[in-house]
Amino acid sequence: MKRFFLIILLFFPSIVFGVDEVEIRIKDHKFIPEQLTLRLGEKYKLVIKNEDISAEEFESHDLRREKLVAGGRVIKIPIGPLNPGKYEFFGEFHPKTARGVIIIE
Amino acid sequence: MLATTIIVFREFIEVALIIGIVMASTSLVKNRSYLVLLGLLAGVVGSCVMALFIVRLEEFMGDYGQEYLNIAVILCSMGIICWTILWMDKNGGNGYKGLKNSAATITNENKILLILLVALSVVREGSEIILFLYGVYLAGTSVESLFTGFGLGSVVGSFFGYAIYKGLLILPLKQIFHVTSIVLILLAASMAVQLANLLNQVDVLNDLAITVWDSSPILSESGIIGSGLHVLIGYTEQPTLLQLIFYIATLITISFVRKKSILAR
Repeated sequence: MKRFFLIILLFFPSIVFGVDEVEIRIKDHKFIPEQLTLRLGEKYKLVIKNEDISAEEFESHDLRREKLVAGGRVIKIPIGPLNPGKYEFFGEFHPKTARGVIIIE
Repeated sequence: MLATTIIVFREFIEVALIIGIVMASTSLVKNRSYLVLLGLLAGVVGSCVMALFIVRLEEFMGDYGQEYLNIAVILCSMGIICWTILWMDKNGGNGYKGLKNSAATITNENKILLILLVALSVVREGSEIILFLYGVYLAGTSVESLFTGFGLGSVVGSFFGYAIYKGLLILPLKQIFHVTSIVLILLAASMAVQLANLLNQVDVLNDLAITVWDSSPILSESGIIGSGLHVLIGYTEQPTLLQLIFYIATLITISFVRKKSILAR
């Protein structure tokens, strides 16, 4: 039994310690914050809250993520572990205003 | 309006290409236009339901409801495509005569699968278009400008579907089935690429999400050619190892099953 827990701890640390949630809000077709710095090699869960009444699609080629978030709703997107670098994301429905970047250091 | 056109186009081109290929591969099936039209209508209705439902999807299916639904739709589409390829192998063996006979005896089961394949491809993109247009409308854009943008985007998108349809029909009848089979295999493999990424998005097999190459400076995935190739052959500017594995595995599996079913005859 002890060994079982040790294996879980070793291979699936996120199950034991949980994954950090990072909140990004969408307001007036803009992301708040537009830039966030996250730790290297760790998993996160992006929690995207759409405070507008219209839907948005969170999209990032760099992170390979794409997900609809209806007006007034919240979605969750797991990311990482990531290499150092800049990962841009945008709202596909409002690509001019809704832009942001995640920086991994 | 231009922004509306571009987004509608990008969503439309996927559906249009799939329908173009379906139309070409069923070119000997009687009344296939009605079947495809029926699929389109079912897809539009399905998209509206999805657009309404997606708001509450998370409540019913947990955090990853959207992804699970997408995975199910992709698996269904891949299944129908594989089944179609095998059906074509089985019935196309006797050359043109065999084709004509089998086309005449297409069963109700075949018809339902055809309608379903079209409907599923529409639903995947349709709900996005609806939510997007609704958002643009809420932002105070005039209805005329909305319609113009939608019209332009859908016409240009549909053109590409029509082009691939016509392109396949140029082929001599004997080769149509052969070439469309290959096109269908690549289409299934390109869906496998999307499937791999969806699995990563629900936090499955993320250890294999290592970028293999980056060809974005050469060919962008969001351009016209890039997005067309993305649908048709699964072009991805920054593919992961998992996507590559899924792609190759799909190609090998289908080829293997084909060979076996041909030998079995």
